[in-house]
Amino acid sequence: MKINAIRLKEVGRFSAPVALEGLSGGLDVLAGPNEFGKSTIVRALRMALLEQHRSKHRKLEAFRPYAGGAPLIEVDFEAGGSRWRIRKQFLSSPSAELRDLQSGSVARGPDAEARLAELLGGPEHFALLYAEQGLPFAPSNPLETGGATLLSAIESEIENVADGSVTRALTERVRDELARLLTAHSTPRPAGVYKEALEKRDALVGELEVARQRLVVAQERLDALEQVRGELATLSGSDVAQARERLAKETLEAFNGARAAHDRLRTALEAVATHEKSHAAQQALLAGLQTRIKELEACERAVSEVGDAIGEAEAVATVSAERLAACREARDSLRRDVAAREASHKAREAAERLRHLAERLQSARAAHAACVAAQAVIDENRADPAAVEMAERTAASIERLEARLSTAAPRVSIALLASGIGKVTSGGQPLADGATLNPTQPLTIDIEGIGSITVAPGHSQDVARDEAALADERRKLARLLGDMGVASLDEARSLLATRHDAERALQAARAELRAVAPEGVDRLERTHDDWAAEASRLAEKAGVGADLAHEPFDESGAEELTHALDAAEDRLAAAEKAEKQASSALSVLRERLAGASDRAAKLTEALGASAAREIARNEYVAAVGAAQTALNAAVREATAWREKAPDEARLAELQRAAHAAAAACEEANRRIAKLREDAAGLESALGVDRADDVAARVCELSDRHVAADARCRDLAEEAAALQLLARELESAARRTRDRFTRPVLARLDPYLQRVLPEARVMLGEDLAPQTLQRGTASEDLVRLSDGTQEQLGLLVRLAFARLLAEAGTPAPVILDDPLVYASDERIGRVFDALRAAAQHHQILVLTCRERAFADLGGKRVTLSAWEDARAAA
Amino acid sequence: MAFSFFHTADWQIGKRFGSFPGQDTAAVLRDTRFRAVGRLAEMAIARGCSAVLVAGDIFDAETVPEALAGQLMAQLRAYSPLSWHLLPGNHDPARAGGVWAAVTAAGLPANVHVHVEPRPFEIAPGVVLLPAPLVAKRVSTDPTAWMDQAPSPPGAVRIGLAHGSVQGFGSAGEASVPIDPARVKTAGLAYLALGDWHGTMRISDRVWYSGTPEPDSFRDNDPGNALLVRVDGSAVPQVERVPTAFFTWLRRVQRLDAADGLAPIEAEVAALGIAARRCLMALELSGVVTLAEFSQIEARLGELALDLFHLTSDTAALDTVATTSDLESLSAPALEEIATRLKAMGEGSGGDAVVARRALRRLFALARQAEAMQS
Repeated sequence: MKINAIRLKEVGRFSAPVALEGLSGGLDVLAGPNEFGKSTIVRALRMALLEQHRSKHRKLEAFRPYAGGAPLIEVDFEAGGSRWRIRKQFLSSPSAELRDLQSGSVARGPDAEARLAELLGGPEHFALLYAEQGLPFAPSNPLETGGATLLSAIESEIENVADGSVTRALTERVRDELARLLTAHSTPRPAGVYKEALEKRDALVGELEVARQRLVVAQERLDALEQVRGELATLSGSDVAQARERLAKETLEAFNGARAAHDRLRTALEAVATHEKSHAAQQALLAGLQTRIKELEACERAVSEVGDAIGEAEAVATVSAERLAACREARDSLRRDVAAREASHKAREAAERLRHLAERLQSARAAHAACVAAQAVIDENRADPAAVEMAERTAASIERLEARLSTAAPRVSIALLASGIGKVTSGGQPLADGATLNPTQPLTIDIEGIGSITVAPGHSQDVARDEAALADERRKLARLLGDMGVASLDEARSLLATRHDAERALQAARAELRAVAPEGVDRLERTHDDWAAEASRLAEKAGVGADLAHEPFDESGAEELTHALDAAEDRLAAAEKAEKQASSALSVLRERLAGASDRAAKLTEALGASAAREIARNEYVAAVGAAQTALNAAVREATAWREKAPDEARLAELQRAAHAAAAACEEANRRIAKLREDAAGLESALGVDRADDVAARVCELSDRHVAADARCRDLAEEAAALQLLARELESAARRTRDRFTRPVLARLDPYLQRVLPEARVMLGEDLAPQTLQRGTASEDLVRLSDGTQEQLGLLVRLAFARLLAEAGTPAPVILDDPLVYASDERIGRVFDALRAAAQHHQILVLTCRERAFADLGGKRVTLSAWEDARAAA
Repeated sequence: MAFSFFHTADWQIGKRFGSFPGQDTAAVLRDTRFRAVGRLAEMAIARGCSAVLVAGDIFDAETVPEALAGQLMAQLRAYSPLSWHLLPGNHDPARAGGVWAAVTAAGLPANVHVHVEPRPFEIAPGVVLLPAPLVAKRVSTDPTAWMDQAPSPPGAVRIGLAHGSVQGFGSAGEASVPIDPARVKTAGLAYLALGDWHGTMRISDRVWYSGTPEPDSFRDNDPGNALLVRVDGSAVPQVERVPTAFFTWLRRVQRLDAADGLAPIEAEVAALGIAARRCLMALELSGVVTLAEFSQIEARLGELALDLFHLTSDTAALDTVATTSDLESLSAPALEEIATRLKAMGEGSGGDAVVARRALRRLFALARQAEAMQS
C-alpha cells in the first residue's frame, strides 16, 4: 500500500481544509514547526483507514475543532494494483465513500468499510507501521490498526505464510479446555471438572469406607443376634427350665430336712450339756459341804493345840528380854570410856601441830624482811648492766681514739741537761728528763730563760674526724656515768656489783619464804590462829590443861578397852537375836490361834450344829442323784438324733447343692433377661441397618467409586493429553515465530549494521527487540539509552516493513518526530538506513527539526490548502 | 398325580445397580425387578399353576429395608391364587435378625410360605416340598443332605428346593454351597428346583436352574426366564422355559478396522426395532482405526446409544493410528507437524504413549471442530 495524498477539513486544529499532496510513495518528508499539526495529520490518516465512520468513540471527539464541525478526511492510496480514494466524515452526518480512481466504482457506507478492510489486508488488517513521537519501542504500542496489535498483525502475516487461524483457534480451545481442568501450576482447578471428579471420588472413598464399616457392623449384629437367639433358646427351653427348677426344689428340700434333723440333734446335745452342768453343780455343792465340815473339825483341833504352845512361848520371850537389857548396859559403859581416851589424844595432837606452825611463821617473817631489804637496795641502785657495758665500750673507744691520735701526734721527747732540770715546763708543770709527750693539741713548752716551744700537731681530716669522734665518745661516756650517778667507770662497775649482790640476796630470801610459807605469810598466820583455837577447844573438852596437852599420851590400856567393847557388842547382838526369835514365835502362835478360832466360829455359824449339817448333806446327796437321772435321759435322746442327722460336712454339702441349684436358676433368669435385652437392642439396630439398606449401599457406592475412579483416570489422561497438546502447540508456535524472526532479523541486520556496526539484536517472543549484543556484551533493551532504544525500534519497524513489502503486502512506515534522542553522528547513520528502506516501501517522516533532517533527503512535501470542491461538500 | 408349578429364583429384589450412571437408569432397573414378579405371577396363573417355588436369593441382601420387603409381600399377597414358597439363599439366609426374621415378625401373607427350616411341607395333596434353606452366606456342607432321610407319606411326590452350586457342574454361581447332583436320586426326588445360577440351565431331566426372571448383568447365560414344571408321579417332569424378562441385556464384542465395523451392531439394534428401548448393551470394541475413523466411531456410538435403553462401550482396546491422509487433512502445517510428533510418541508403549495417542485424537477432533467453525 502507498499513500498518495491526505486531505483534512475540520480535523483538530485544521478547521479549514488542508491537503498533503504529491507523496512519492518513497521517502516523503514533511517538516514543520511545533504545533504545525503533524500528529493530527497522521492520526487523521489512521482514522480514515481504520476507524468506522459511524464510530462514537470518545477519541474522535478530540478531533472535532473547538469551533465545532464534523471531521472530514480523505486519503488517496494505492493498493491491490489500483488507486483509491477513501473519504470519511465522522461524528456529525457520518459517511464513508470508497472510490476506485481508475474504474470509477464507488462503495459507500458499510460496503465502503468492508472493501477498504479488504484492500488494507484481510480481517486483521494492518496498513501502517507507526512510530509515535518520542516514545521508545513497545511491542504493542507502535502499531494500531483498527484495534489489532503489531503482534497479531505479524501473526496474520505468519498465517499467510504458515498455519492459519485454525491453529490459533485450536490453541485457544486447548488452553480453555486445559484451564477447565488444571491451574497454571498443573494442579486440579478449584471448582473445575477434574477437581470435582477427584473430590467426588475421594468423597465416595470415604462414604464407601463408612458404608463398609457399617455393613461389617450390621453383619456382626446379625451374627451376634443369631448367637443370642441360640443361647436364649437353649436357656429358656421348657425342659431345661423345668429340670433346673426341679433340681433347685429337690436340693432345697433335702437340705431343709437335713438341717431340721441337725437342729434336733443340736437341741439334744444342748440338753445333755445342761444336765451335765446341773449334775456337776450338785456334786460340787455336796463336795463343798463335806469339805467345810472337815475344815471345821480341823479348826477346833488347832485351837486346842495352839493354846498350849502359847504359854511356853511367853516364858521364853520374857527371859530373852531381860538378858538383852543387861548386855546393852555393859556395852554403853565401855563406849563411854573409849570416847574419853580419844578426846585426850586429839587435844595433844592439836597442840603439837600448833607448835610447828609457829616455827614456820617465824621463819617466814624473817625471809620476808630480807626480801624487802634487798629490794630496797636494788631500787636505789641506778647501775644498769646495759649502761655499764655501753660505758665500757665507750671507754674502750675513747682509748682507741686517743691512741690513734697519740700515734698521729708528734712525739716530743725531753732530754734535759742537768742545768735544765726544772726549767722546762708545760702548762706550769716541769717536764722531766726523758719524758715523752704526744700532744694532740698545740703544746707549749716553756723554757725558763729561753722561751717557749709550741708544738702544734698537724690537722688532717682523719685526725679531725678522730678528734670529733673522741669528743663525742667522751660526752657519751660522761652521760652514761651521769645517768648511773657515778663519776667513773670503776664506780659504775662497783655500783653494778652491789646491785648484783642485792639481787642474789633477794632471790635467796624469796626461796626461803617459798619453802616455809608456800601459801603465803598471811595465810600461814591465819592457819596458825585457827589451830591455836582448836587446840584450846580440844584441851578443854578432854579436860586437860593447855600445858598438859603438850605432855606425852599414855597409850596403855587402850587395847584392852577396845577388846572389851568388841565382846560387849557381840553379846548384845546375840541377845537381840534371841529376843527377836522368841517374840516372833509368840506372835505366830497367837495369830494361828486367832485364825483358827475365827474360822471355826464362821463355819459353825454357816453349817450349824452337827445334826443340821447331817441333814444338809443328805439333801445334797439326793439332788446329785436326781441330776444324774436327768442327764442319762438327755444322753439317750442325743444318741438317737445323732444317728438320724447328717454330719457338718454332709450338711454343708447339701447346702451348697441347694444354693448352687438356686443360683443356677437365678443366673439363668438373669442371663435370659440380658439376652432378651441384647436381642432387642440388636434387632433395633438391625432395623436401622435394614432401613438404610446397608448392603445395597455398599454395592452402590462401590460401583459408583469404580465409575468415579475411572472418570478421574480418564480426566487425568485427558489433562495429560491436553498438556502435551498445549506444549506441542506452543513449541510449534515458537518454531513458527523463530521462522519469522529469522527473516525479520535478516532484514534488520543491514539497517542495524549501518547504525550499530557489529551489533546483533535478539527479538523476544512478541517480536520486540529484547537485547542488544555488541561483541561479547549483551544488554537488555531497557538498559539502553533512550536514543538507542528509539533507533532500534525504528530499525525493527523498517525490517517489518521490508518483510511485508517482500511478501507482497507493503505498508508505509509513518515516523512522527523521530530520532529526538539521536546524536548528530547517529542520526546520519539512521538517515542512511531510511534512505535504503525507502527503496522498498513508503516512509513518511514528519518532523519539526528542519535543520537536523535537512540531510535526510527524500521528497519534501508541504501542507497546502485543500481547494477542491469536495472540500466544500 | 400331576402337579404343575412355576420354578423361579434369584429375584435379587433391592439390587441397587450403582454402576449405572445417573439415578434414573438404576431406578428403572430396580423397579423392573419388582415388575418381573408380577409378570411371573400372571404367567403362572395363566398356565394354571397354584404354586411358585422360588429357589433362593429373593432379596439381594439380608439388610434390605423392611419397607421393601413389605412391598414384595404385598405384591405376593395380591396374587392370592398362588401359593408362594420362598427359600432363603446365600444373599438372604435364614438367620436371626435377617430379612426373613423381620418379614416373619411383620406377618406373612397367608399365601406366602418362607421355608426357614429343612422340614417337609405339603404344598399340594400328595406333593411334598423338601426345602433346603441356607442359614449362612457360606456353608461347607450340602444343605440338601437331609432330604435323603426326610419323611413323606407313601407315594407322595417329593420335590426338592435348594440354592447352591451343583458339584461338577462348574457353574460360576455366587454361592459357595455344594449340592450333590445325585441328590435327586438318593432322596427320591421327582424334581430338584435350584437357584443361584442366574441363567436357565438344565442339569439333568429332573434338575434345573430356572435362572433369574429379570436379567441383572451382561452375563450371556440365558437369564430372564422361569420354568413351568409338570410332575406326574415318577415320570420325568415336563419342563418348559417361559420368558419373563422385560429388558434384554446384550454383550457384544466387536473388532473394528473402520467405522463401518459397527454396522452389524447397528443392524442388530435396528432389527430390534422398538424393542431396542428395552435393551441394554455392553459393547467391547477392539482393533486399530484411523483418527478419522475413530471420530466417526464415536459419533456412531453416540447415535447408537440414543436407540438403546443403555449403552456402555469400552474402547480401551481400540487403538488409533494417524495415517498420512489424517495428517494431511489437517489444514495447518503446524498441526500436521504436531500430529506427526504425537504419532511418533504414540507408537511406543506405556503411559506416555497412551497419552500421546489420546492427544493426537484430541488434536484431530479439535482441529475438525475449529475448521467447521471457520467454515
